[in-house]
Amino acid sequence: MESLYLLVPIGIVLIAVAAAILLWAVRSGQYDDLDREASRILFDEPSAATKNQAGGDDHDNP
Amino acid sequence: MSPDTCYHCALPIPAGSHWQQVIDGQSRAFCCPACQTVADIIHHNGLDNYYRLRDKPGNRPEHTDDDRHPFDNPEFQSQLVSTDAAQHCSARLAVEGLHCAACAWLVESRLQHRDGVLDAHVSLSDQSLWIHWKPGSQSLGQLARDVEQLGYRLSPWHPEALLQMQQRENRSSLQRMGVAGLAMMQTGMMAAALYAGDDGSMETRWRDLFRWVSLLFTLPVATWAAWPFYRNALAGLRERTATMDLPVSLAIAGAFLASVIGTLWHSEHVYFDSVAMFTFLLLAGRHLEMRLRHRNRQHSLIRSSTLPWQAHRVEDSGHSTTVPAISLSAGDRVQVLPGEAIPLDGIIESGHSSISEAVLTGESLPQSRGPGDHVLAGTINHDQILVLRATTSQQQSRVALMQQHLQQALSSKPATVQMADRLSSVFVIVVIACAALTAFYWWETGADAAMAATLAVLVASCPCALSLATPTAMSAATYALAQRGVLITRAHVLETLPRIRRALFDKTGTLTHGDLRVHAVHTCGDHKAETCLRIAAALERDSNHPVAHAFMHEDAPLASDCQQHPGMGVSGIIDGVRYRLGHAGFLGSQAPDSDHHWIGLADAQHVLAWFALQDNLRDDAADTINRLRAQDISTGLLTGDPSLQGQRIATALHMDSVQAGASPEDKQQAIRDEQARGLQVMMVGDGVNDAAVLSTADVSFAMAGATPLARLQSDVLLMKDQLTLVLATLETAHRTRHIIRQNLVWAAAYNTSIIPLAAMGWVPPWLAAIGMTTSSLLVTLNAMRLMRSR
Repeated sequence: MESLYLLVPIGIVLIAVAAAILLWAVRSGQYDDLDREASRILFDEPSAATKNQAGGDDHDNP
Repeated sequence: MSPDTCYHCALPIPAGSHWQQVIDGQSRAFCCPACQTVADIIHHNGLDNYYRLRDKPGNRPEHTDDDRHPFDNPEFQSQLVSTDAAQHCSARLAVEGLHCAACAWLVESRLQHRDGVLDAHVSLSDQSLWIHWKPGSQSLGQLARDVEQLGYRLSPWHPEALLQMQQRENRSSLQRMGVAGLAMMQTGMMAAALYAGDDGSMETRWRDLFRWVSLLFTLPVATWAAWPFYRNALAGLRERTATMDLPVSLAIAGAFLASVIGTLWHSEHVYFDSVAMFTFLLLAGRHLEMRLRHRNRQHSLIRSSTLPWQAHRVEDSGHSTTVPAISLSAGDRVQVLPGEAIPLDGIIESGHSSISEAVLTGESLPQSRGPGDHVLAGTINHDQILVLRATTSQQQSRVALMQQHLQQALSSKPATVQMADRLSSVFVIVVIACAALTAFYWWETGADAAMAATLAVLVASCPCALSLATPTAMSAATYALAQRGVLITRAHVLETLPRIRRALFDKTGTLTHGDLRVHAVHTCGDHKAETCLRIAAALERDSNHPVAHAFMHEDAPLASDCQQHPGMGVSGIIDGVRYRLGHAGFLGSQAPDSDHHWIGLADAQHVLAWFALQDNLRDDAADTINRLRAQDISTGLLTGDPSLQGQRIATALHMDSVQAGASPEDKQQAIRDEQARGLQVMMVGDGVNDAAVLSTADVSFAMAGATPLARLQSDVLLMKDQLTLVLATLETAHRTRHIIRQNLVWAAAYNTSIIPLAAMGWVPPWLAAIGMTTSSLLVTLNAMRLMRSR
């Protein structure tokens, strides 16, 4: 049971770190647009390859 | 998607159209070359996901001929673009037409594909776009053009102070909720160990360790996270009212202090887990409520920006340059092209045109204006180029001042006192008295027993369920309605609606469609009605005059040499014959009668046909009125239109009363008269002239096509053009009232029955805490039933 004297403080520190990260994330605006994030996973990030190819294609468009 | 609608914008495809494109392995049809171009751009850039994932059809792009985007003018550059240390530019723009995450993704991907663009981010919640790019390879105008080609409209971003305030509120709420949530989990874990050891099997030193750790976790919750409750309770006390936040604050602070004392004195029980959980649940409830409130407010704010952001200033040399509208001031000369909105109040210096004041007055027919006449910002110039001399800056224009005034009125409107709040001030006093009596009674038995019983009373009576009863039901109902296209902007609506006994309707745009349609055709020559309609449609094809919308026709022939005759009509040549379309005066003839708005079609010699234009009734108007009457609500028509049409409509719909030719003051007076008779009145309207009327009514509805001012002023915004949504709102309000009553009865019954038991010492505090949580859960689940659509 004596291990609690070590484990409990470690737990406290971990929670404090988690709380600090949360506060930072909210403050830096990552939670400002909650409507958007729910469906972000559905969309692919454009890769570098498509970027170059699309850049070339674009000139053909009116 | 059905085959005869456009794949991109979902509008019907005109007969004989041949715009095709292969997307997702299938050939798709489009209504116009512009939509096809958009689909082509989306397809070629590998953005087909947009079509798979979007919720709503796309925007029809507007055709532009300008080579140079106004954003590239120096005046706009200095206002919009900021440059950072690495010589990279960034700009923030407002985007119109964003519907869903697919739209946001489409805009972002389109920009990120561009060379030189470092980053692009679209925010759905404030409908804005942020671009970061290298200035050498791209200009802001080119990037803006890319987005506009997709059918979205861009304008300079002017952050509203209100939006910034909402952002701060949102962040602070999330932070408090997050900290309370983390603490709740930790103290919950500790509490599980503590409860398990309650039978005496736990050594005191471990028990005390867990208590101290719980105390540490609960400290920020009871002080910082719960601070909004304390602040509101104090604010309430200062105004000598006991709000729901007072017992909440007492419960949190009381239970926390008692637990701290319990930890110090090694007494039998501590309640840190209850404190953290209670705070978290309340914060979460308030957060959901806040999000709904913000979203409603944003909808009305974003739609309120009707004024154009660019204007054509006429320089002394006679040339015109495009400048930001807000940089103009009184005395500047401004050119307004046909089809544009007038950017500021002014006096016409040259040019005759017809001007649609629908934004301000709701009147759908344009008025003829010439030199010397006063025109107002926000109205639409239809026929010809006008040159104005500005009399005010845009910020000082009539419309802008009205908007400011209304926003102030909105923010200073006192919060309605809810039933739970009224109950609570009595409740609070009773609870505190009970707790004091219990402490006094048990004191002789011993401090420990007194503490346990007193705390049991405080925790058991904790008005969690009572304070959740109303807001959860309100939030659930508001959410369910929003899903169906009804936005509630004021908290009192759902409470007031079931008491409504009288419903008043505006005519134009509310009971009717608000735009002119061809009601009847009288032919005078050999031509068939169908042929005449086709010729009229051909002549009006390129006009944006409201009358032209009445003549939409699938296969109109092509007319050449089309000319607009301001305030009179149009003329053009079809198959070698010159036709004229316009008022009786323009054709030199006499209209059949004066009951309708008649437009005639003539060739060089004769009148061929007369078209009666009328604003038709909505299809669901009769159904709505009938079902209101079935609910014992009397209906009335209040219209500013002095013609006989109001009477005709009221008779056709069997409405109980009608008042035609009413000025806004008359309408307001009519509502006050009803209210003086003790009736609660609801008003459904759409025009700015209705704005004051809407604010007078007990509950006001603004139609989907309503002017921004009317929307800002009304309690309920309909997002879809369906009158039956009024009925849906009423029905939901009735169900909400029912659920709130169930909740309040349950919560009150539970609290009143548990308090005496707790005071007798029969309820240990842990049981009281479990009872409180279960009771809250029941109330919340009951409220959630409102979210199920029927």
